[in-house]
Amino acid sequence: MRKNRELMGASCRLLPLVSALMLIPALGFAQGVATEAQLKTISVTETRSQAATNVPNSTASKTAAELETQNIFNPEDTLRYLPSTTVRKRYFGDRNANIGGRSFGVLEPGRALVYVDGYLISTFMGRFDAPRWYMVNNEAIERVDMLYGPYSAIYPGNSIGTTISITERKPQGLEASASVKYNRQSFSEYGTSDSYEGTMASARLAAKLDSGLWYALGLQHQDVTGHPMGYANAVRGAAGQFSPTLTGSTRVTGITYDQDPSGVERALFGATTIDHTVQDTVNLRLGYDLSATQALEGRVSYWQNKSTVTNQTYLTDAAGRPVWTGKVNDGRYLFDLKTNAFLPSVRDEANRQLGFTWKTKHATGWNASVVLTDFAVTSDINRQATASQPAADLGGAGTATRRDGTGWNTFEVQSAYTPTQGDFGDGKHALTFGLHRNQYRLNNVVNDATDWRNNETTLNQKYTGETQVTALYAQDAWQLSPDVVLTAGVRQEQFESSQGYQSFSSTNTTTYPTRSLSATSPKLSVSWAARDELLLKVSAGQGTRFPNVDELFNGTKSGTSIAVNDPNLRPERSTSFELSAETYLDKHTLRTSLFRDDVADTILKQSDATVNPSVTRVSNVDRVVTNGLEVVWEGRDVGLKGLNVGANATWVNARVAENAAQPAQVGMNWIRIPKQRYTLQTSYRPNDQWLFSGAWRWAGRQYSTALNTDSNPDVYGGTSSVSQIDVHTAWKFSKEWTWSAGIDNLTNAQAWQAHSLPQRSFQTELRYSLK
Amino acid sequence: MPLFKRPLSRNTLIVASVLLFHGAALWALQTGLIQRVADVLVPVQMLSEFIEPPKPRVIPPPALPKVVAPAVVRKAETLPPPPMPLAIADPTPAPQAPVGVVAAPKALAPITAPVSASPAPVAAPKVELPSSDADYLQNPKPAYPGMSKRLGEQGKVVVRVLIGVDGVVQKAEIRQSSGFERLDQAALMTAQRWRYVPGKRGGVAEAMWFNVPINFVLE
Repeated sequence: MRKNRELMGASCRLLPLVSALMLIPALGFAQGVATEAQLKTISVTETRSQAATNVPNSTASKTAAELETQNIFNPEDTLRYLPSTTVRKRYFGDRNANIGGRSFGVLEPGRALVYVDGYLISTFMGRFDAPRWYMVNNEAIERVDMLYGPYSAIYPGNSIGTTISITERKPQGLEASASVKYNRQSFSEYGTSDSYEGTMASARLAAKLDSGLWYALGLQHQDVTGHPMGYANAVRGAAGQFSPTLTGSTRVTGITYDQDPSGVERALFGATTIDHTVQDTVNLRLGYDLSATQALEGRVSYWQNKSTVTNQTYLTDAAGRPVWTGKVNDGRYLFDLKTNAFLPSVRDEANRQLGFTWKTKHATGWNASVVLTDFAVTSDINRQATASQPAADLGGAGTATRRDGTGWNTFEVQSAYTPTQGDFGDGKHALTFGLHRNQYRLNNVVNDATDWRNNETTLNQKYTGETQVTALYAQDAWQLSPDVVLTAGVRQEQFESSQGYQSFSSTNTTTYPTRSLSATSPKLSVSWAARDELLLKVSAGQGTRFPNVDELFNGTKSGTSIAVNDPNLRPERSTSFELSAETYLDKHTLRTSLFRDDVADTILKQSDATVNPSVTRVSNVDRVVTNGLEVVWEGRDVGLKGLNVGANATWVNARVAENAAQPAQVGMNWIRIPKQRYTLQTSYRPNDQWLFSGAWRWAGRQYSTALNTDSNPDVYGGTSSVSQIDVHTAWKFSKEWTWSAGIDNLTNAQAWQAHSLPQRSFQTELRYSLK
Repeated sequence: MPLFKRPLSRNTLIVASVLLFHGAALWALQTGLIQRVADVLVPVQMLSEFIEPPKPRVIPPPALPKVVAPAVVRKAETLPPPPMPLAIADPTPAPQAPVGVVAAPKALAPITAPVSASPAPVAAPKVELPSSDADYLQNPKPAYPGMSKRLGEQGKVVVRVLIGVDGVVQKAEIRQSSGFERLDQAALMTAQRWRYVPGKRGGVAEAMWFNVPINFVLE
């Protein structure tokens, strides 16, 4: 709207001239007349509470000022306290930080639609492919907005979960800022007791020129070592393990025991997947106002990552030398430490993102926009040894998994009408029409290597595929009365999967036929400002999430795992309802939402690690129903000026309602959704210099198996409850400089999202900002 | 990677039809712009108010209609403040006094300045201009109504206040609506609560009408 105002200003530039001319003859009259004086205009300016108007969804937002109260290392940290949200950030520098929401878990990334400045960064590829958060510059984040549910026709069917919009700041003049962060985590678990460090440096230079041109250049560099993501282990019952006969094995010390998530006795031999990642991001945004009513904007982002994964054995022999492989015993049991227990790997990645926007900016009437995105994995090679460290440190056989050529593009044309009084619809209809298209391509090629570090010899296996969604949508926000808005919309989507191909050898290939699906998703919402401080809303909507390339075509096989794909997978279709009440008082806002997500053909991708090799299957679950209650409260100056408090709570019951293929699942809790989630955030600014803040979040335990057999969640491999306290303080010691420090997980509470979540970590930041 | 790998013909068709549609929309927009220029020129006529008798402003009935986007109002907001008639004693209650005004309009203080009830022939240069230095006396800005923030309501409200010789508001009314009743009310209540430096004529304080413009902006 502010942009609109600028336009209006421009279109009225002639005005002073015109009025001046008119005043000349009037001057004689005006003299001596007691004209009514006009005092200077008072402006009451506030940050809008949500990014877009005419959105029928419940929303949650954080502005840059609010984000100052949090410890932020990576961009996804901005989301960690938002209602009904789980961020699967396993360690600092993690590239697989998926989002979980009201009715979907963190391994269903198809239901998190994430945009940066309108450009899609969701990676609808595989189960662990998270949104490309690293394309966002920490310095540039102006606000993050979250929309719940499929109630707006404007967003793709993936919005049946959560839609997240990250807005980067546009310069208002010359702006420069930079920050350096240092993070240190003490981590202790099983036989590991170590400190892991990370640094993050971000810089941004931006300017708005008189010519209407503006630019923003962002640079970001991080160098982080994460704590172990896994542990080499053996469970009782597995062939050759927990044998009481110790003959023919090396006597070692260092084996630790626990019970695995299913309650089976487990021995652990060492830590695996300790990731040292060095990442760089460069963003360049350019914008130009073609006229007062037309603007162009472009974005080029480039990201690269060099990641080195190492392992650590806990075992030492009688001479004190580390033991990595072979048959070992600790005097109680014999274990067979497989040669693939401690596989090192190196991953080199580069991504390139292009974004382009053209839009008109009329205050009222018709506006149009065109948005293009092209995201390319320009190179991605993950080299892994097939033998354990330390032998593998010297080379030897391995594999190289390539995903070059993977990527997506989107194309969107939208036309929106902002009504005026006396127009065709009597000033009551805000209309939106659009066409959206997205295309995802995944190439996954595994080559054998004789030296895993350096070469590739022959093709081991590959799978490729493409999905494409074309959608037409229309939405009308109809102002039925001054207090009632009815928003109706429909989205028609056409899906096509093509070029599905698997190859394990020249004689073992599968080519999948092209497949087309379509879906119509209607949406309806009525909001009623019943009183000046009370907004009531009832929404209903359907949304369709189509399967991705990985689910359809990934049939990868290796010595340790087999993936079973389903080229005929059906799309998941959500029928959602929400009833909400929002209260706006001077210093408090409160929203209560009752919601129901009824998802037919929910896509479940799950690994069974109880068999060897492990099997990962994908299937449709006939019907999963989630009923929930979400309460969000925010208070300003609570009892004390400068003291802000926010709290939210979510209670859900997500269960499998029908599943003919596996009736045993019926009644089971849906995976990876905590039944209860609570967040409490508080910040205190006694003056302009100091800020003290703290937050507590609690999420109940989750189930990670479809049959809820994981009875022992508080161990590695389990999906446990989370209780974490974060504290933060900042001191703005000069106009441009701010120093801040914080501790994540103050009480050092352990938690697991299959992988171990970070333990207590300390962070400090020095920031310079010129605006 | 080329942007689209599908057969071009189909894309071309889609893109062409969409562009055509948008072209049409833009054309409509252009015609709208022409209309807007005409609107902008309209205010010139308002100068004629100088020689018209003061009349109650035509303002919508108490419940101000909310419009989705107060476009008409926006246009008005960019106009220079139109010259107003003489301040006169106006015994009739403000016809448009909106519901929900906290303080009932007080009885008007008699105005001592010599004013004519009929249109003032403006050739009386002896009358001094009022001092327009009535300034806000550290008066707090209105709070942005929470619901307005939520619903994205923005706009400029001009509140017309009759400031008594003691600097207290005797009467207040919405002169220009933002298009949103919540914003209008917030502005009205704020302008009523404020204290003012009274206007003066020939050095003598005098009850006088002032316009208080308050702009609500979301960014």
